[in-house]
Amino acid sequence: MTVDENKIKKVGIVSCSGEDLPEGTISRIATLEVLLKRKPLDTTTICLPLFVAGGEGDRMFAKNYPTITVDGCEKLCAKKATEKYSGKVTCSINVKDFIKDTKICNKRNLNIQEKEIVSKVADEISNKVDDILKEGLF
Amino acid sequence: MTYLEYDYDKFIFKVKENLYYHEEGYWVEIEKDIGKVGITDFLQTLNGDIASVELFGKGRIKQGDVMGDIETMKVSLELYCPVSGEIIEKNRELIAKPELVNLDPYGEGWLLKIKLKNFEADRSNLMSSQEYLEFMKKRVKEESGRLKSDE
Amino acid sequence: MSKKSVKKVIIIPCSGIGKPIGTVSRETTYEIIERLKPDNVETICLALLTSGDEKTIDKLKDSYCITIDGCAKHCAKKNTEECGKIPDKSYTVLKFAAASPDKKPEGIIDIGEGGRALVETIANEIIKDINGPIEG
Repeated sequence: MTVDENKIKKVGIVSCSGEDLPEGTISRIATLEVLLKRKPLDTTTICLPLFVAGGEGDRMFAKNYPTITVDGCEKLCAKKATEKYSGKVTCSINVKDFIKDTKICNKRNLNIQEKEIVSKVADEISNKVDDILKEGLF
Repeated sequence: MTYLEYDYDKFIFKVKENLYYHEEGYWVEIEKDIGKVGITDFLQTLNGDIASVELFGKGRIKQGDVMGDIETMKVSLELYCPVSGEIIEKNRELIAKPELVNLDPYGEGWLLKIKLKNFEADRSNLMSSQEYLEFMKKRVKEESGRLKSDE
Repeated sequence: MSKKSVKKVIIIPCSGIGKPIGTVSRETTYEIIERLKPDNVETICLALLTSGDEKTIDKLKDSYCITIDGCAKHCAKKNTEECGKIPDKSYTVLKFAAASPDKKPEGIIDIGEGGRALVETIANEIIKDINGPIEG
């Protein structure tokens, strides 16, 4: 892939925000942590409902730029929607891989263990952003 | 009805052709001696979802005068008229549906109709659609932080 | 006296991640579910619905369906309609925000005092509307 010097170097992040699962809240908050605090200059949020409803800009971005999907469960809604509307996903993260034996139950007002999982997922997203920027996949 | 487009990040900014533009983010569509005015796609994107629009309904107005204001989820913004003349109509649809300015800034989201006076003088402060496109590209890069999110 | 069957209420928020009003739509949904009888009110994942998950689509069929959108793009309403269910009621956070300019959400992660007040206002309004379907 050739590098266009004029192309902005950003990574898109598509998060599921599964309203019915605590994992969906973790996915959402971890994504926002990266978008707004850890990597604000290197990332762009792609709103999944808008993406599915036909958001032209969001779909175009995901088609032309590397995209990380963050899902809360094995249904992989963010990954599948991105593949359907914009093409291959650069990296797919599943929150379930970070939960293991921890019992999580809150969809809002997360407890300490749940916040720790958010932090771990955010670490993983940030690392993947760094990898993509280093490899110059634009 | 054609548009020039500029893609930046996840945004596709549209500039409608055959309109005049003011660098502050306003457009004018001329039909005989009537100018219909509104805000550009860039300005509406920059300022976010519009909760309410208030417009002056009648009276004389000069280029650069305040013609109303909008309240968005991010800011309260005064609106400046890009032409001079007499206000003859305001878009009453925007009372119940201010979101039309976001959804269709060059169409149903128009703001005022003005019976023009002294347009030749005002025109020297306006740009063509192509000129505005180039100007807007610089503004987009300057404002990239504000465009990123509603935080 | 015949017993009226009570419909299940399903609330679908847009949860738009790019805007504080998306968070407000999600928080409002949780507020309503926590305050009302959770046996009668629930939410479903919008993304799961639009991906064609049969179990999720089935849930909606006989429900009293409410959508809560953050902005005028109406993603929750549109996506729900695309799946063959016309919402019984649709709300837009932006409309409530316009009516209560002192209740502006501050951020996307933390909507702040203004945002929480807005959640309260919208939740109260929706609860009034759905007490009928819950009680039958």
